Amino acid sequence: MALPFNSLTNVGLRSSPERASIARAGGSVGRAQLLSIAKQKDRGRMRLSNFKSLMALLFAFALVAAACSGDDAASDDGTEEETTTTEAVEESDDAMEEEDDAMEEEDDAMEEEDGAMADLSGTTVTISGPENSERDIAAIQGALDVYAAANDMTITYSGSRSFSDDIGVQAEAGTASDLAIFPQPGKVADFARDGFLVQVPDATVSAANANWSPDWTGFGSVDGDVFAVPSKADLKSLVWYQPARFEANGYEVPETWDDFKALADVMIEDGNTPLCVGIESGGATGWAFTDWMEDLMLRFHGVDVYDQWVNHDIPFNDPRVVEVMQEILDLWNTEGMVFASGGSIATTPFAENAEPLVDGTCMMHRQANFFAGNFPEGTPANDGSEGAVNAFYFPTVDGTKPLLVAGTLVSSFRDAPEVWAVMEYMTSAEYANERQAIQAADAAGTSGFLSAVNGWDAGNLNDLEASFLDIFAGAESSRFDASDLMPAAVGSGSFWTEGTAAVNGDKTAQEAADAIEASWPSN
Amino acid sequence: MSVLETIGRFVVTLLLAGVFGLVVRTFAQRFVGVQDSSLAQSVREVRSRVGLGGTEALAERDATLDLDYGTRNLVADGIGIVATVFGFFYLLGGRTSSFLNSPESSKFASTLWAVILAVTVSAVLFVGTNILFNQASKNYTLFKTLIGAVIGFVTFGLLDGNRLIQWVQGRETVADGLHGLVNNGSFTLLIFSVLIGAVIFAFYGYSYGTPRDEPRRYATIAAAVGGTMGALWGLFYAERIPVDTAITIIWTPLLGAILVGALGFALSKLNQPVRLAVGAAAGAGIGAILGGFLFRSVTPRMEVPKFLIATALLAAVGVGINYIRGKNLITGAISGALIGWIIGAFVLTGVGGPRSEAIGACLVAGALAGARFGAGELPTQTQRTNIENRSRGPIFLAPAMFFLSVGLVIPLIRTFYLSFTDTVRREGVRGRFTEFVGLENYDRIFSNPSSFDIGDWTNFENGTIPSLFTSAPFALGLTMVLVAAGMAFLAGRRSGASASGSSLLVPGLGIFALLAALFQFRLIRSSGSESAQGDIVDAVSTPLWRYAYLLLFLAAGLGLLYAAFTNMAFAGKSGGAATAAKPFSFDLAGGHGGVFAFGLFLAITAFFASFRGTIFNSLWWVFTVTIVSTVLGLGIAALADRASLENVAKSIIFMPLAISFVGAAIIWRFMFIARPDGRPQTGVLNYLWLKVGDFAMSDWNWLGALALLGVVAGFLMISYAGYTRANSGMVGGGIAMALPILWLAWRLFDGRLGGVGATAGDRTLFFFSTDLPYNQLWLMLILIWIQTGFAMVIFSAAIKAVPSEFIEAARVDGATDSNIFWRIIVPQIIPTIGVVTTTLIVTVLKVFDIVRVMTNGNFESQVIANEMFVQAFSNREVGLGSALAIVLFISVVPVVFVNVRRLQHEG
Repeated sequence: MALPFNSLTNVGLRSSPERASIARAGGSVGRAQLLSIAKQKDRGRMRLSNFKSLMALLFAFALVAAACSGDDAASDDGTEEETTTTEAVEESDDAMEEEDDAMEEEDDAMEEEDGAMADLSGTTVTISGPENSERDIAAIQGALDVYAAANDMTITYSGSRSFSDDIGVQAEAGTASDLAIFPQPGKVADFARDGFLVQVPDATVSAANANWSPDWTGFGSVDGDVFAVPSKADLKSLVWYQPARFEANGYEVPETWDDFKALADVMIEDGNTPLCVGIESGGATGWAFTDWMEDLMLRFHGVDVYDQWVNHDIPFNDPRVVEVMQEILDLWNTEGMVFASGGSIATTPFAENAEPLVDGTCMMHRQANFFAGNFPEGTPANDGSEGAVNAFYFPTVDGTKPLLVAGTLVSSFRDAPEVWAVMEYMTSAEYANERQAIQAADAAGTSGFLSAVNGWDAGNLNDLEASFLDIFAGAESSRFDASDLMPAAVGSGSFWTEGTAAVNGDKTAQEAADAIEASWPSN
Repeated sequence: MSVLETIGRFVVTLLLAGVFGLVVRTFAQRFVGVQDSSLAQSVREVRSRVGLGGTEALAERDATLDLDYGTRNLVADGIGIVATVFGFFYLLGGRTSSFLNSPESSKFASTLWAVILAVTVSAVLFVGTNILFNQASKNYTLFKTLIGAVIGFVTFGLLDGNRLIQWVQGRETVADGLHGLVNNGSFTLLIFSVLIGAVIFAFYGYSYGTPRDEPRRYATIAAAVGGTMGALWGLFYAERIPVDTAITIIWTPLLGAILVGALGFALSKLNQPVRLAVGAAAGAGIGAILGGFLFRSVTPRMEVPKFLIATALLAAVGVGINYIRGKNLITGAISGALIGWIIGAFVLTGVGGPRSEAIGACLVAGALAGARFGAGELPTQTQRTNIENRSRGPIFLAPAMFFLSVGLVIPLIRTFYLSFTDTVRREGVRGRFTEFVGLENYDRIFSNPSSFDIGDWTNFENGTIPSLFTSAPFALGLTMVLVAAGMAFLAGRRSGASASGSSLLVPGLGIFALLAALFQFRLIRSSGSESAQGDIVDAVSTPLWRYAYLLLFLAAGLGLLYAAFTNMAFAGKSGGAATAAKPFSFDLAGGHGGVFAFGLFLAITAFFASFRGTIFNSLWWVFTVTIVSTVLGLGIAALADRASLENVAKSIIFMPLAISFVGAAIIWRFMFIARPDGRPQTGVLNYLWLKVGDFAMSDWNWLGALALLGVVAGFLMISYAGYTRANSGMVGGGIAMALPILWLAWRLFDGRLGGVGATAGDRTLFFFSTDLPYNQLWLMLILIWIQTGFAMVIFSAAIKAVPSEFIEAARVDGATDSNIFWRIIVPQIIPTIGVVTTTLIVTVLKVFDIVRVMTNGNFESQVIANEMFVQAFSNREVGLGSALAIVLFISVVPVVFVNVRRLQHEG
């Protein structure tokens, strides 16, 4: 391609002063209409030479085009080869056909898949989601690029802080991305019932079922039909701390909620700040508070009440709910209890609490496993070294060990083979491996990514991450994040805003709970 | 990417774009008929060499060209330049899968590309329509053909775009066939397009100069259309726009354009009675094709009585209208019948009829439309000129009307409708259904405590008093109002004049002061109850202050009421003529009027702060931002007028207007940000706040307080000087400045100003966006920062437009600067003040971005516009969101109405 490229450049350079002269001539005519005919003839001659150079340019252009299309022809050959192999498969299918009808169906499915794979080249799939830290975006895009490169397609991921608002607007406007990564099953159900989402085809569903336990795949089914498949799992019942610092101060990891509060009091007496808390998160401000609520609801009142609470079988301003909210507010409002790098809890993004935790400004931080993604690069995890971070299980109240989990589900706004292919990839162990590898390398430590997909490569995990998987495995009962299951008007609406108002002291726990109850949609 | 490579890409891109622009310009030159373009010259030369002849026709043709020479050249240049820029960003933008693709530039470029595309399309439409109507008098055939083509293009395009018609059933197969043709990637397509261009060139050259009616001219046009279609096809294929979409976008409308264009062409050549027959027949044909393409879901089920009645009825209406207008009755009947038929066949009846009925329905509609097209004689030259002349106004207004209807009227009607509905789900069905719920959404807005929260005023049982009566702004404001009222009383006794409206204002103030006194009494009685507000806003936390305020409010209330009572009694007895005899007159004209207004502003701000809720918040925004921006803008414009460095100062103040609301909010976030004491303060304002606090806590704070007291004394001296000179402006201004500074001095002396705390790491921070109740003022500050520049620029222009004769005459008569401002400039620019105020009110009511970025409605700072967004899109309560939008709209309407009325009045 180099030769015509250069020749084109030369031709182009030669032509540019002449082009300018044309512009000048035209402009002068525009200014004065009294030019003599003789002058016009001069200009005519000049333009004739111009016409010649124009033709030369066109010719050069055509040459370049021809040279480049040569490349295309080469790739065409490749496509033909592929076609031949497909035919070969078909032939062998034919042979099998005689043997067994059941087999034939399976082969047809395979054939379709092959056809779909062949079709992927040149296609584009867009994905949007809420994960927006640089590290997350790089890892997601990186993992997707692997698949895209293998299939000669383009996949783009865009993460946004305001995803949960944007996707509603985009869905209404018909401009949603092909795939959307929802952190809220409640929202998936809303969108599915409203007819925005496309039902996941059986082939993709069975691929997801093969990879994930029924608990997880169940989150994506709405009224018996599957609209989303899981792609990532998060463990929320964790408290981050630094073992070395605990040891130095003689603190023990608390087993129960009372121990936890007693430990916090001891820390305050020692002149340490026990907790880092921050609930600011742009349009989603307040969600970190709802996580505390959910963890304590599970611990104070058990999974049954939790389920009733989620399903609105008990009102949101039930005394038991208000009690839990009050418990948290009392804890946070204790003098000297909380450090918030934004000055107040309501103005501190949770991610900004990573640094104070590492430098010892505060001792503990309750946050999900993905909090690890915010630690400064190279922070060691659970290796006994100075400055290493670790996480302990959020203490129980009565000895039962419920687990609060969350995750992301992938759902589709477009029905196309390439979309389903990418969805299937995102729910697979390969995707988890790729993402974990990239993200762990980027973080030079704990990646912040976690998955519950079967058969992903444990070699990519460090000790801390492996311990998370142990917690997953050892959980007595696990429940999905309640706010993510509630209707959007509550779960990503009033629960967040009223919770923030209560945290900021603008409302009492009772007032906030009343307001949330009032906002629960009637249908 | 290396720098060299970047530059290389840039240069190559520029050159390619230049080539593209050159080609386009040459075409454009020919199209607009420039004499002696290089192409024309060369073509002429080539033709004469190969002996094709036809050069004589050139002269004839050039004589009939409609645009003058210079204009045509300019147009050609313009198109060429646009094409160059267009091509540049097209290639730069990585929209072609070429070696020029650079990811860094693509976002930037695609934005510019879209802008240029939009501007170009608009310009081309506008210029093109004008040129098209120019042809009405000059070349009727061309005019009629093009009009037909446009009508066909738009009609078919709209129908297809709305999925009402479909291309032939197996259009994917057709598309696949074409796919195969151009299946070798975009560069083959480039060749394809270039070859097509070359073909057009060749045809053009072949037919150039041939007489108008020779078939090969039309063959040329057909070839050009075909070539363009091919090129567009190539373009869309290169863009990888789905084949379906490409077909919808290009082929169907083009089919319509060709069919109807041909009809127009035929009609322009024929005369009655053939004209009518051909029109009807061809229209029927086109209708039949449309009917054949009609989507199955919209094929009408013909119900004979309904559509016959509708047709007959509207035909009669058409006849009636044309009878009144004095026009041809038959054309009226045809138009009416056409509309009636369409209503009868497609609106009144059900869908799902057989294909034959669809074809039949469309056939008749098409025949009627064609007959309407073909009715009447060929227009005479005069009539054709009339068509051209009459078209100018509508063409000029068309874009405005289009955007008005598309952007305002239609959405408004729809929103209005949606505000009475709720989206519900139905058991077992996916999708959302709108259900009419009447006024429920409005009821939800107005009964929701988060819209109106007056809890602070109704919460008596706890023994608290409304926070208004303990807040510093209120105390300060009321004090200023009372001082100013006293001065107005003094001034009134001197001048005997009475400010209009004082008969209501004075007793109202008196009652309010008494109420305040009552609450102060209650506060003293329930001593020990904590004030709901923070230290910064709580002025009356000490008993001394409480008693002082009790006495002040009591005295002021009684005094004002007494004054008002006697005033009214006199007015009642002696009637309007005896105003001079009033013993208690209030003259607010003068500087103490400013104090009065400022005090009132502070008190009302405090009043707003005692409420919560979306609607109150919006009202508060309107009140504060409008007043402050207007006053600041006017003040700056007046003070900067003819001052040195006026332009520099005004430019700086104007600059924030160029920043988007979101950008401004982000900037101010960094100003407002707070970090825990002991960590580096990254927020500018909190840094200063802590520094002030350090000073207040230091041993030298009395020095600062003393300095401030000196300033207070200075202002009081100004006041006194004003008193001796009977200049109420100086009196009022002095007091207005002295009072707040006195308060600051007291806080400083008391060690309570700024960020103070017991220990160094425990100083109080200022949480601008989260500390109730004045957090919203800091959000409003952002909008004021932006809008002051706007007000200033408008006022500045208005002030400069005040005739200097007036000002000079006033100066000769001995008027002071403030006299000139208040008595000459302000009355002259009253209309401008009205415009600025109303514009600001509308802007402020719509404020959304700032709240969204700063607090997202948290911390009791929700406003209607953000609530609307949250409800409609986050919670997807479209009905409720629409109702909020309508509330917003209705609150804007009176303002706009007043504005329009005044404009009419002035006109």
